[in-house]
Amino acid sequence: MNTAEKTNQLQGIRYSLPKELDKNLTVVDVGMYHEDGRREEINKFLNVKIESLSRINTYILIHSANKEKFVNIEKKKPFLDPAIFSASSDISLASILNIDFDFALNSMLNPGTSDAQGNIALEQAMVSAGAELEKGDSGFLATTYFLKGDLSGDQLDKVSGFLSNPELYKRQIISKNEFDNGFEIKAPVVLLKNEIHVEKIPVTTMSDDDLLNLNAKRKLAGTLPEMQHFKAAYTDPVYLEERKKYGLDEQATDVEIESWFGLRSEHCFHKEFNAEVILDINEPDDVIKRAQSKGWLNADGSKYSVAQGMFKTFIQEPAENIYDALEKRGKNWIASMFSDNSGVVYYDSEYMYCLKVETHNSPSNIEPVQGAKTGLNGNFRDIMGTMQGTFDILMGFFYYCTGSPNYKGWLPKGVKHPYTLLKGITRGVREAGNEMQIPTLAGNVVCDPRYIAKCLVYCGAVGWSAIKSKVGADYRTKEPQVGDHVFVAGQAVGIDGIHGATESSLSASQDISLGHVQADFSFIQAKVKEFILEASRQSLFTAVTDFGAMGLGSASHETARATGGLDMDLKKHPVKYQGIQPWQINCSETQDRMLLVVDPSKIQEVEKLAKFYNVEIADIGKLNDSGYVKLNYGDEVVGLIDIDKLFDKEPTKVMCGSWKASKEDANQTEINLSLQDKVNAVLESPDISSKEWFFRQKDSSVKGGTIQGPLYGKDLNVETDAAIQKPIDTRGRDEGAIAYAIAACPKLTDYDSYLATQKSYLDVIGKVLAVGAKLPDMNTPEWNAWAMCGNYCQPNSDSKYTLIEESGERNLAELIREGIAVRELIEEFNIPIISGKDSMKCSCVYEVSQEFSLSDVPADLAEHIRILETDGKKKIEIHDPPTYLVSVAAKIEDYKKCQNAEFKQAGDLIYIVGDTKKGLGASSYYSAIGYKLNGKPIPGEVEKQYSASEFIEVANCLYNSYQKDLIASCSYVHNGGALVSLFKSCLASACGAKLDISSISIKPDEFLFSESPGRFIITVNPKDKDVFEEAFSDVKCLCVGEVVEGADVKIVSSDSAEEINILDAKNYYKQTFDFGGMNV
Amino acid sequence: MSKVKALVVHGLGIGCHAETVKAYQEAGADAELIHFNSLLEEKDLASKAQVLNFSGGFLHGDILGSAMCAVNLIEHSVIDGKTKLQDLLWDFSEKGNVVYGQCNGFQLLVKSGLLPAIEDNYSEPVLTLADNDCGSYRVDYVPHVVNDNHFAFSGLEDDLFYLWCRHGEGKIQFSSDHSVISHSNADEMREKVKKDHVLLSYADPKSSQATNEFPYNPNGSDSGIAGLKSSNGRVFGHMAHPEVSVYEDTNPDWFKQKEIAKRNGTKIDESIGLKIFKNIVSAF
Repeated sequence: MNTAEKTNQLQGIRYSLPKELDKNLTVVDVGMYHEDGRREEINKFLNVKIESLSRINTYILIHSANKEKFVNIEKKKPFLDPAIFSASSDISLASILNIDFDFALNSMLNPGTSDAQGNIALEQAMVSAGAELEKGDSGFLATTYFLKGDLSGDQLDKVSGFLSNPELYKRQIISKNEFDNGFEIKAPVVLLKNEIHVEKIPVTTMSDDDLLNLNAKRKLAGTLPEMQHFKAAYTDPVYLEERKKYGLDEQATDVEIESWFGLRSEHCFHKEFNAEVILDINEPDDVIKRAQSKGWLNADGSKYSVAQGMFKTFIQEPAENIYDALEKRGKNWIASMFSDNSGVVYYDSEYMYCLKVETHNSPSNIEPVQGAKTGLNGNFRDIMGTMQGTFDILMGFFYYCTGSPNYKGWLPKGVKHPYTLLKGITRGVREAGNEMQIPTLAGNVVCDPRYIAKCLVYCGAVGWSAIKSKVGADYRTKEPQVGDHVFVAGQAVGIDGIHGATESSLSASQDISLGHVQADFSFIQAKVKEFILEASRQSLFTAVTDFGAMGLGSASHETARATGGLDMDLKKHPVKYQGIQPWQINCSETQDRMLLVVDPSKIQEVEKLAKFYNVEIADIGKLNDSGYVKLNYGDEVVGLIDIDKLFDKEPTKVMCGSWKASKEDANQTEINLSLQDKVNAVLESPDISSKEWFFRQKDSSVKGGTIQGPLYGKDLNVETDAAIQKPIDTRGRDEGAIAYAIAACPKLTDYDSYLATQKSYLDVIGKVLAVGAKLPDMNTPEWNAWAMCGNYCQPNSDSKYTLIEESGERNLAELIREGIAVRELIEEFNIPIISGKDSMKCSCVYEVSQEFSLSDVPADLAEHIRILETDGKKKIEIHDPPTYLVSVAAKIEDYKKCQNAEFKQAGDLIYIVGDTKKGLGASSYYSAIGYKLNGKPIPGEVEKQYSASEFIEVANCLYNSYQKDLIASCSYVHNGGALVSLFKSCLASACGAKLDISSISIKPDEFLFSESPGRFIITVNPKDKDVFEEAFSDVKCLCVGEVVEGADVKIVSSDSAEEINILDAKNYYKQTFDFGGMNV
Repeated sequence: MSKVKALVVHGLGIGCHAETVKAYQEAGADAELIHFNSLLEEKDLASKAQVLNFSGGFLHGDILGSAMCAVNLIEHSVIDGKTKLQDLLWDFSEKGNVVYGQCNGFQLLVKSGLLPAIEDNYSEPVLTLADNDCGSYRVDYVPHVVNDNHFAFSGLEDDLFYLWCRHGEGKIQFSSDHSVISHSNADEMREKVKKDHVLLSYADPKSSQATNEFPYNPNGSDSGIAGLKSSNGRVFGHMAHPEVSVYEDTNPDWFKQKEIAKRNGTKIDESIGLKIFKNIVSAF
C-alpha cells in the first residue's frame, strides 16, 4: 500500500500516515461547534475583529483491522449526536457543511504526548465497528478552528497562540486556498528507531571541566561538588566488584546518571531546605534575639547560623515535640508526618484523614491548562499513594499567584499575559477536580506584578480512610517486604515530561515533545483510583506510591529503600511506542501512573481486579535486600545503583545570607476619601475581591458532605473563609466534621516575612475557629486533630546564583525569619506543620535588549526589577515575593453547633471581640489606596499587634459560646479588616448594619481597616446579650451596633457619620475577576 | 415485606455513587453498588433489584460528548447472546421497576434513547444534552418545579424547590442548524415531549413558571426543561443532584434555617432529596 492510497481524497484537510507504517487510517470529522463565546473573548482581549469562529474535531484512527468494518462509522455512536452534530468519515466535514472562513487553524498535541482522547475514541470506534484493537494501533484528536475576519499576520499569530498553545500543540495555519486545493497533514505517529542504546560515560577519567560540560549537556542541574561526588562513587572497589558481576565497568550508564541527578535534584532532595545557613546580621532585632535565646540560631559575632537547617530546626523539631507531648497526653491525633506522600491525622479511633499541598509553578507558566491540571491530579495521586492506598479523596483546593488580569504594559519575552494564565490555570484545575469528582472547597487568587515572571499554582487535597479493614487488617503500615513484586498501574509511558533532555537519536523532522509539559487525562486516573481503592481495601498491597517528579525512577528507588534492594526490568513497563530508551522509561513523567507493591501470593487477585477495572498494570520488578537497585532492559543490565550512596546527604550545602532591619518611618497623612471610596478600593483589590467566577465552575457538593462550600449567602455570591465537610462514612455515626481554610500573605513580606508568616498561620487558625473549631488542649485527651500544611515558594535564596548577590542573601534571611515565626507559632498553639513542600527557585532572569529601560515598565513592577550589565549583556532579575501558604483541615467535634458568617436576622447585635490594635502598617487598606513609602508598604506598629495569650483566650471564649449556642454568626477579621468582614456578611444576608464606634480610642480608619490578628465579628440574638457578654467578660468585647433591614452600613464615629451602600460596594467586589460568561 | 432493593451503577468515572447509595439507604431501601462493567453482563436485573440508578460523574471522561462512550458500550453490548442492555433496561421498567438517572446518568438515558422514548420508542435519541449556553461547567442551587404528577416528586407539586445543579452539558436541545435531525422534525418532537414527557422544569422563583432566563435556567435548556420521563414514568431523570440534598445540613441556607428554628422552637423541614428518594422507595 502506498501513501497516496492512505490519504483522504477531495478538498479540505487530508491526513496521511508515514509510508513505513503498515496500518489503515480512518478519519472521522465531528462538528461543528460554534465558538461565539470564545470569539467575543478573543476580540476583546486581543483587540481584533474575528467575524465568526467555529470548530471541527477530527478523530484520526490508525488501525490494523480491515477498513471495510469502518464504513458508516460516522453515522453511529459514539461519534454522532444527531440532534446537534453532523459527522463525516474520510471526507472533510467543513467542505460538506460549506463553512465560510478565511483561515483554518489545525492543532494536535505534539507527537509523543499522551493523547488519551484520541486513544479512547479509537477504542470506542473498535467497539462500534466490531473490530479488535491490535498492537501499534493508535488514535489522535485534531482540532480545526475556522476563522473569518480580516487579520494581519501578527494578529493571526496571536489568535493562534490564544486558541492553541505551541508549547503543547503542533499547529498549522491553513489558508482558504490551501484548504480548497487539499491540505495534507501527517498523523502525529511517533516512529522511533527501535534501537535501544545505553550510553556509557567514563566519569572516572573526566576532569572538572568535563564534568561541568556533562552537567550542562544533560541538563543535570548539579554543582561541581555534586558532580565530583558522583564521580567518586565509581572508584569504590566494592561497588566496582559488584558492577563486574553484571557486565558493568567503571563507566556510568546514562540510566544511572539520570537517576542519580534526577533523584538528588533540588526538587526531590530539598538540599536548600536542609542546608546549613549562616546569616550576617549587624543589628539583630527582637525576632533574631528571641530565636538565638532559644538556641535555634547560634551567634558568633554578627554571624548567626542555623546548623541543622531550616526544615529540621523550625518545622520537624517542634512537630516532634508536640507528637511526644500528645503521646503522653493520650489520643495522639498525629498518625504520620513528613515520611509519607501526605501528612496523616486521626479523625478518631476508627478513621483518619490526610492533607497534602503541592505547587506546579514552572509547567503552569509554560502551559497553564495542563500545568495546573497535572498539578491538582498529581496532588490527588499523593493522597492515593499514602500508606497502603486506602485513602479516598475528600476535597481539593487551589491558590494562584499571578499578575493582575488587567495588567497592561511590558512583558518579558515568551511570558504569557496573566489573563491567559489565569484562565488556563482555572480550566486545568476545574477539569482535574470535576472530572475526578472531587469537590473544590477553598481557594484564592492573589495578584502582584512580580508573579508575571513566574506565576505560582498551589493545589491541595484531603484524603479519608478507615484505619483498619472490616477484618482488622491495619491500613497504616507501609512495609514493602523482600520478595514483593513491584507493579506499575495506569498509562503506558511515553517520552513526554523528560526534563529538558535532548534526544539525539531522533531525526530533526520528528519534533518529539520533550521538556516538562505533559498532558493529563483524568479518566485514566479515575479508573486507577477506583481500582486502587478496591484492591487496597482488600489489603492486596503492602505499599502504594505515586509517580511524581522523576517518574518511575523516584517511585521505585524510594520504595527500594524500604527493603534495601530492587531488581527491575524497564522493558516490562508498557510503552506507547517502540524505541524509548531505558533511561527515558526510568525518568519520564508521563501522568496518571501509580506504583504498587504486592506480595507474591496476592498477584493473581490484583491482576484480576485490574482487568475488571480496565486498568493496565505490569509486573516490572521484585524487591530484595542486595543494597542495590539493579535495572535491566530485558537481559541486559543497564544500571546498578548503590542505594545508600543514592540517598546520602553528602555533600551538605552551606548557604550564606544577610539581613538588615528596615528603618523607614512614615509620617501619616490625612487620606481624603469617603468611606465608600475607601471600602470600594479595598474590595476591588485582587486578593479580597470576589472569586465567585472561579468557584462557579468547580463542583463543590459532590460526595454529599459539604456543609459549607466555598460560596455562601442568599445568592451564593460571597466567599466563605472556611469550608466544612462531613465525610459520608460518618453519617449517623457521630456529629464530627472537618473544617478547611487556607491563607498566605505575600504582600506583607515586603515589610517582613516574619510577620507575613505569622499572619498566614494565624489567619487559617482564625478562619476555622470562626466556624466553631477548637484549639488543641494539651491536658485533655480528645480527638481534636489539626492537619496543617506549609508550602514555601521562595525567591532564589542562593546568592551564588542570583544576579545581584544581595538579593539572594536577603531572600535567604527572609526564609529563616519565616522559619522562626513558624516555630514560635507551633509552640504557642501546639499545632504542628505535618506536611509541606518547598519550591526554592521562584525567580526569573531575562536577557533584555540594550535599549531596555525601567521607564518602559509599569512603576509597580519596575520597583522590583534589578538590572545587571556584564560582558556587554543586559540582564534583569525578578524575584517573586516569598509566598508561604498555610492550609489546615481541622476536626470539628459537633458540626451542628457550627455557624457561618451570614447575618441571621435584623435586630441581632454586632460585636467585635479581641483587641483592635493601633496602626495600619502594611495593611490591605493602604495597599489598595496606593499609600506607600518609597514603593514599599507603610511600616506601622505591626510587630506589636499580636499576643498569643490574648488570641488563645478569645478563641476559648468563642468556642465555649459556640457550645452554649450563643453565636448567630461569626467571621474572623483578616484581609481588609472589620469593614470587609461586615460587608461580606451584609451582602450574604441582604441585610445592612448600623454601627456606633464613637467609644473607641483609636482612629475610625484604624478600627475599620486594621488587620491585627485575633479578632472576630460575632452577631448575637438580643435575648442572649447578657449571657454572651458574660462569656466574653475576660477579653475585649465591644458591642458596635446591630443588623438592620436594607442595604446600607451606617457608621457613627466620634467625628463623623458615614454610610456605605452595599450594592455600590458589591460592584467593586465583583469586577476584578468578572471575566464575563463562563467561557474558559 | 422485604426492603426495596436499589442498584447504583459505579465505575469508569462515575463519581456520585457513594452518596446515592446512602440516599437510598436513608430512604429505607437496601442499596448496593454495581460496576458498569458488571451491568453490561447482567442477565437478570429484575430478580435482583427494583431500582437501577445511574448517578452523576464523568463516564469515560465524557469524551466525544457526555456519556457518549458509555452509550456506545450499551448499544453494542450483547447479553445472553442476543439482547442488548437497552432492551433489558426497557423490559425492566415495563415490569414496574424504576430506572433513574441524575446528571451524567440522565445524559446516558437521553443519549441512549431511553428518555424520553416517545410512544415507547427507545431505539433512537430524539433530542440531546448540549453544552451549556453560558459556555462552561457551572455550579448553582437551582429552582425547580414539577411539571406533572410523578410518584418520585409527590408532595412537591405545590411549590418550587431548590436542587444543586453542576454540569457543563445540560441544555436540552432538539436540533441545530447543521444537525442530522431537521428543524421540522424537531418541532414535532418538542410538542410531543412537552405534552407527555417533561418531569421537571427550571423555574423563575417569582412566578414559579418554567423559564429560559439565566441563571434560573442554568444551561439554556429548551422550554426550561430540567428533567424527562418515559410514558409510564418508570424511566426518568434530570440534571440536578438530589442525592446531595438528603441531609438538610447540606442545603446552603441550613445555617440560617437552624438559627431561626432554634429561636422559634421549630424544626427544619425534611430535605427535598430525602423526600424524592423516599417517594421512589415507597412506589413499590
